[in-house]
Amino acid sequence: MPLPSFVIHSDVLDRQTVERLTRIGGAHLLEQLIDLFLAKAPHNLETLKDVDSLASTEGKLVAHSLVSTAGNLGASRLSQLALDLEAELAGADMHQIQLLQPQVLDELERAIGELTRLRAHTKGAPDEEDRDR
Amino acid sequence: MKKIAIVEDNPDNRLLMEAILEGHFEITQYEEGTSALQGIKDAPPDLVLMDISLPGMNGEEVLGHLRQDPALRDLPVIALTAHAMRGDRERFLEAGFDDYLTKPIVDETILLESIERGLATAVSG
Repeated sequence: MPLPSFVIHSDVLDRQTVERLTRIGGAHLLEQLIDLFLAKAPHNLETLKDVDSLASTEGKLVAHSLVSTAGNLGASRLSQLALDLEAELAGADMHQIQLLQPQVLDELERAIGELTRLRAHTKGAPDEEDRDR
Repeated sequence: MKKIAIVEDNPDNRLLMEAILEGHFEITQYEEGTSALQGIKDAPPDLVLMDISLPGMNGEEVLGHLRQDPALRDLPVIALTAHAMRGDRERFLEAGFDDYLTKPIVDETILLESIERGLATAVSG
């Protein structure tokens, strides 16, 4: 599956990671991972927007989960910010948490936008297996 | 075909590992520690990929129970963690894990090589 130009030039998604995912499992794997990410996005946004929710157990779970789910899809900056946030939540430094919160939110929204576009691009894209048939 | 148990509560991570490993290994997946512990005892795999941060019984606790079972004491278990803090590797190895990998898994060859080393260790005893 050829990557669209917005992914090739993206500063939100790592092109090599996206290429690697399609190499491992075709467009289907990429679609499934994006769908899982986008399905949790509303809850993640809601939790991250509210400082009390963010500092709760659920907030820590969201931050922890984002480290790998974002990283799996090549949203490397989001993954790193989530890791930083997780560390600050463990230390309960509200000042640092409040500094990170808008950064994580902004990057999450950017990732949602790019992944939504990429998902639209993969719709109907043939897998390697399909082309070989 | 060798059997691998994946113990991981995050469906994204399970999906990715399954995609990397299918065709190479027979995969069984568990979403949490208690059912994983019972399942591994009932049908021992050749190697376990164990998430550390599991709901309820965490990965280190599951490992502790496995190592108390004479039949599973030498089962290769690789820790999976999103935490890459200094000293983590030593801590996990001291806890009894055979290796540890950080998530996200950005290079599937690292996962496959770790599995191969674990399986080779089990064979050589």
